[in-house]
Amino acid sequence: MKMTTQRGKIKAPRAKTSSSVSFDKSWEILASAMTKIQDHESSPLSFELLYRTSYQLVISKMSAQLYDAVKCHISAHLDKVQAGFDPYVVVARDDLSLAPKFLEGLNKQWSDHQTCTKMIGDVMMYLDRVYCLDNTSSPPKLADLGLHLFRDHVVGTGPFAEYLYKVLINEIQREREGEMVDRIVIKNVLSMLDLLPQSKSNKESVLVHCFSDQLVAATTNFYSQAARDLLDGNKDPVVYVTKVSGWLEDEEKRSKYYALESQAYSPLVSDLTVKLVSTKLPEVMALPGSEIRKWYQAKKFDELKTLYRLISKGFPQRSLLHHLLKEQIVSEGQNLNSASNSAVEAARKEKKPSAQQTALAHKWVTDVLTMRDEFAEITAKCFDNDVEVVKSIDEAFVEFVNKHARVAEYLSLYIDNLMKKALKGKSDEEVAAILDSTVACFNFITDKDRFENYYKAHLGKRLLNSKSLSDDAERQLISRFKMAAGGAFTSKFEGMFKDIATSADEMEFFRKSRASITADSEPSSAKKVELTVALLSGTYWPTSIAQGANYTLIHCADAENAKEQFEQYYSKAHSGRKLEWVPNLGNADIRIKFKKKFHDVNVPNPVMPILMLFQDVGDQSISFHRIQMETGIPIPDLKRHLQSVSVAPKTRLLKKVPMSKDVNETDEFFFNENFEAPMTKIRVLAINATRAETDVERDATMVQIDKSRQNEIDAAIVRVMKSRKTLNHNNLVGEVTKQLASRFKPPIPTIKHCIESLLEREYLRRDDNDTTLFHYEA
Amino acid sequence: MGLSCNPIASLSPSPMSVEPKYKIIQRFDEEEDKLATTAVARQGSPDFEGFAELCDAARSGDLERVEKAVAFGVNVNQIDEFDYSPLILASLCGHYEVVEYLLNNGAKCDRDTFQGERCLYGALTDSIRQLLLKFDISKAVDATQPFLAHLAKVFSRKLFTDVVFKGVSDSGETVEIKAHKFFLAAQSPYLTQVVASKTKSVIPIIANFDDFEYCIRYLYFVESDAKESKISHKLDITFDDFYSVAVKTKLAVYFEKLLDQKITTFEPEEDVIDKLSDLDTFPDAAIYTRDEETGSRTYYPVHKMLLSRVEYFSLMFGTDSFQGIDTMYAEATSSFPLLELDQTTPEVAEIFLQWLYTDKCEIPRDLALDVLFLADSLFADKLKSLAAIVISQAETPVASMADILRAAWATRIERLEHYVAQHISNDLDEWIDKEEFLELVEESAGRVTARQETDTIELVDDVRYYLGKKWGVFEEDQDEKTGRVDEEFRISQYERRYNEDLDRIDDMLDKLKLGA
Repeated sequence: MKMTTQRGKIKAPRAKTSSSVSFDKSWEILASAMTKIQDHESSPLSFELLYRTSYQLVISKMSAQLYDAVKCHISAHLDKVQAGFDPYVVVARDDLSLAPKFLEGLNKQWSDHQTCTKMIGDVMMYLDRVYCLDNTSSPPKLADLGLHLFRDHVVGTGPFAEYLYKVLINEIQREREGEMVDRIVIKNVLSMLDLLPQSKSNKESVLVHCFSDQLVAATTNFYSQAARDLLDGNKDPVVYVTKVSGWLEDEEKRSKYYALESQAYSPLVSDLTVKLVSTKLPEVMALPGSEIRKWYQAKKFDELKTLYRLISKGFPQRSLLHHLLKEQIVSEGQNLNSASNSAVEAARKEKKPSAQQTALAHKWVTDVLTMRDEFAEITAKCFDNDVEVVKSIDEAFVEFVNKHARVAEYLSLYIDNLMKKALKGKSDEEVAAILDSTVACFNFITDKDRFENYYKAHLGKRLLNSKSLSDDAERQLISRFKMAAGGAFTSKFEGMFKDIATSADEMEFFRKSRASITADSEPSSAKKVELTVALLSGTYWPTSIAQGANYTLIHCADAENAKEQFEQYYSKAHSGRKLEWVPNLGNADIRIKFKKKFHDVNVPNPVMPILMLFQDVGDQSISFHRIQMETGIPIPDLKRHLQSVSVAPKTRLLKKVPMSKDVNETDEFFFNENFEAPMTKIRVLAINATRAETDVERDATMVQIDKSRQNEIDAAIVRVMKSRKTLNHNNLVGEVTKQLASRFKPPIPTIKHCIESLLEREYLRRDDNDTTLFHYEA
Repeated sequence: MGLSCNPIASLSPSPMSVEPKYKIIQRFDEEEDKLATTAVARQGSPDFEGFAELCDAARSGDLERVEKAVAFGVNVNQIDEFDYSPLILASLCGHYEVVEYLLNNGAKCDRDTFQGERCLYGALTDSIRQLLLKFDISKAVDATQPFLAHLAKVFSRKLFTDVVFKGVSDSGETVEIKAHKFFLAAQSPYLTQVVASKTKSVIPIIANFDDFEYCIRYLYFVESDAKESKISHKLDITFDDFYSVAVKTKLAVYFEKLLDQKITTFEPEEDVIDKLSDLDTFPDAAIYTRDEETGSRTYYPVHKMLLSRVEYFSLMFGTDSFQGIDTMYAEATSSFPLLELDQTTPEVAEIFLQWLYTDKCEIPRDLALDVLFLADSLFADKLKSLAAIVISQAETPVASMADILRAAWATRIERLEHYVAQHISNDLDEWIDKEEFLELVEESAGRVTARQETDTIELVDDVRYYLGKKWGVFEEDQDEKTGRVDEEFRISQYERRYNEDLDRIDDMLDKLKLGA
């Protein structure tokens, strides 16, 4: 770079200009430019000139002077702007009809001011950079200065601000009431308030600091009144829920539109929610017409959804919903229970309790399941499948279901009915759905051991009499029980199934061996009785099955022969096992020749020897006592059996003298030669079909269950103590309760009693010093 | 340091039989030289010396010298004859700040390159390794290079465009691209032909419009992936890391041409505008300086597209204004504005323009202060720091200490204040009695408004600090209150000298009735 001669000497370039700059002259240029900018005449302005003028003032160390002059200039302008609003603020202060015009004007002035500030900031850029630093002690940047001045000289805190806030609240209220307002202007004015800082040190906006509370208060007041009006009118909770939810949605949308969620509006919506939902809704939902189930039945799904949304907003963890559901379900359930109980009473008065019991049980369980399905649908459709809500509903069901005294029996009866009749003709899917809801009901039961007892009995009868419609359904149900309550619970049921299966196999072997023996030794003339035996392991099957089986039934010779052959075969095949016959179970098929024709008659096992007595007697009668003697059937049983063949009209194979409904020990019996029936095959029913228990039977069952419970508690205590060795009383009770929870809820006194007895039997030892402490004695 | 440092000073050609990498790059550069007369990183050229300087500074961890070299436009991604890049050297020698500075100024460390892997592998400390990994990104537009970012910005925002290319894309839509004639003309002879017509502002492109569009976008650094096509060859585009260098180099050539078109004249403005707007370099504005003695003006044809790199001009043209606010000044509405650089000589204006067009410049020491003031007034921050570096690194001062200090205060450059303080403390004997020094101290004191007795005077503090450095006094040995070394212990003669100097300064302050 070549130097020109006159630049040979280095000069201090700008320092000399400082003295030559006159503030007044320069300011004159700038002030007139600012006025032009404020009057929207900026296009002929030269950026270069203005920038240079302000630059030179700054470089000449007149920054402070310049800054103050700018501040004064803008302030003066803004004072004029504010005065321009006097017609509204001062003259027509209570006439809010001019409000839209006022807001429009203000919005215009505000956007003009923003433009001016930006332009002034541009040409004074150098001042801004050099004089206004980013620390609190330096004057604010020009852009911020613009905001401060607008706040102080236009909005202020006096009548102007008051009028402005009043107008805004009024306009928003008008919009709320559906009138047309200029939303854009309102939005702009609100965002203006949001931009204005409260003060130089307090960065919170004027909107938040001064306006927000007023707006929230006005809004809340309005809606509180509206809510009161609503409740004073018709007291329909459905209407309340729908309306309030609509209001809240409106306000949320409004706050979104005005982009003020974070600032002024979020307290508004949450405040409203507290007022209209959190405090009011519980009251409203206590009014008549708030039953969730009725809403459902009236197909008010949208309303239910709305309710759910409202409750989610107003209550932590939706506590109100849980409360409502529990209360309503339990009270409905109690209704079902008492309806069922009174039906039982009625049936008892009519003296035909057992037959109707099954129907009652079926009705009750169906009702419960219907209700459960309804609530499941409600949660799925309207409550978002909320896991917590589902839990609450289940708890409510558990509560009332277990209040019904016969829940275990009823459910078992219900299942019995399903398996025997109700599942007929249902598709696989339908069956699966029914079984699912059945298991759901099963889950509600706390005393599962009790249920087990009943179920075992019913299942046993179904299996022995082949009454089940579908083995598959039975197995499906058991596998569901297994999932719900564990393998220990279903092991006996499965054992019962296994027994039936092994019996079939055994009979196959037996038949083969018997065929070979017959071919070898027996004379062909001997009448051969077919024999099919069900082998039941004593541990799996209910003891009730063997009840009343403590006699030996005397068969006719041929049958006894077959029985002996089986005994021989079995002891040979399985040494060391003991066979016990249960005479009152099982059936026999006999062909009988009557006058008209042959009939194949299926009779209960004990009836067979009775009929066989009449084989060769012709017209002679046989007395009750002789029958008793020759068959060995106990008198009460015999009476029942004779009733089925001599009294029941369709199966009157014997004639009785005298003719009467009841069988007496003095009666004489004849073979009824003239018996007629439309079908060749006839079935004689045993008069002990499945039915609900009588009260006496139930008491017996209870005693039995209590006994087995004690054993289980004993076992649980020993199990716990064996692993813990030492435990204090409370913990022990807790552990035992936990262990048995899947079976039943052990009463604490019983546990205590069991502990006492274990102490006596020296399984446990009390600590010498601490009486609440127990030690395990190996 | 246990590392063997390669002697960068030996500049003799390497005797290796295989052509080393740096030579390939050199060859690349030489090929570019067919278009450009300016050399890039070639032995013996000023840039090569600059690069050697950069490597040396990176190795020794001298951040200031690294800043200087980078600020003067040395390409940080070059390698020396041992395949070392400045970044590798700094990372190998463990200079965290230098590594950070280089990364922030465009040094590349991509793992999938040999250089990048080497850099990571050689990092002396974990913190440097982490830093390198953090920067392991290939960016479309290197945001750390403001010049390139500016090009991408003006293109994508379609600012100051004077030509429209119209055509049909492969998908059958009619598409247009807006661009700047001068920029395209600078980039390739082919494009020069395409935009040659001065009057035509709409140019139809018949074939391969998509390829054409891609190339234009690539030229403006909006695209970064290589996508070679017939057109890219025609346009002389190479897809590699040195592409940005090539673009700047071509601009530098174009700038020389532009500079030749300056006019010094007394003619009225209309005539000047007529003349300038007719130039084959497609200017859309002019910068001028005024000779205060003769009143003649020197006009330089320029392009708003590059002027707007500087905040002053972008404010003037309203390109940074947010939407909805209309800040149209006379300059922005004029079709060919003549813009004055106030109180500036043509020499200084040319330095400014060179920097504007090429992103680098050489500042002669006697113009450094003028450049500093000009850059400050226009908010050309990078140019300002370049000028400041020249001043603080000059072997003999570029002006009197008083002028430099006042310039430092006016333009708010701390580095220069320190420079002056260091200078004074080195020659304290000479300065302590000078009237000039007393004036400066008083001025410095006056810079704090509403100064209290106990407030410090920055200049005095700085001088004290550099005295401590000068006499090698440890900070730990200085008394917190008086700053002196406690004489009760045996102290060295240097420490005694240090205490004496402080006494002299205190005497001076007493004379001025200032407490500090």
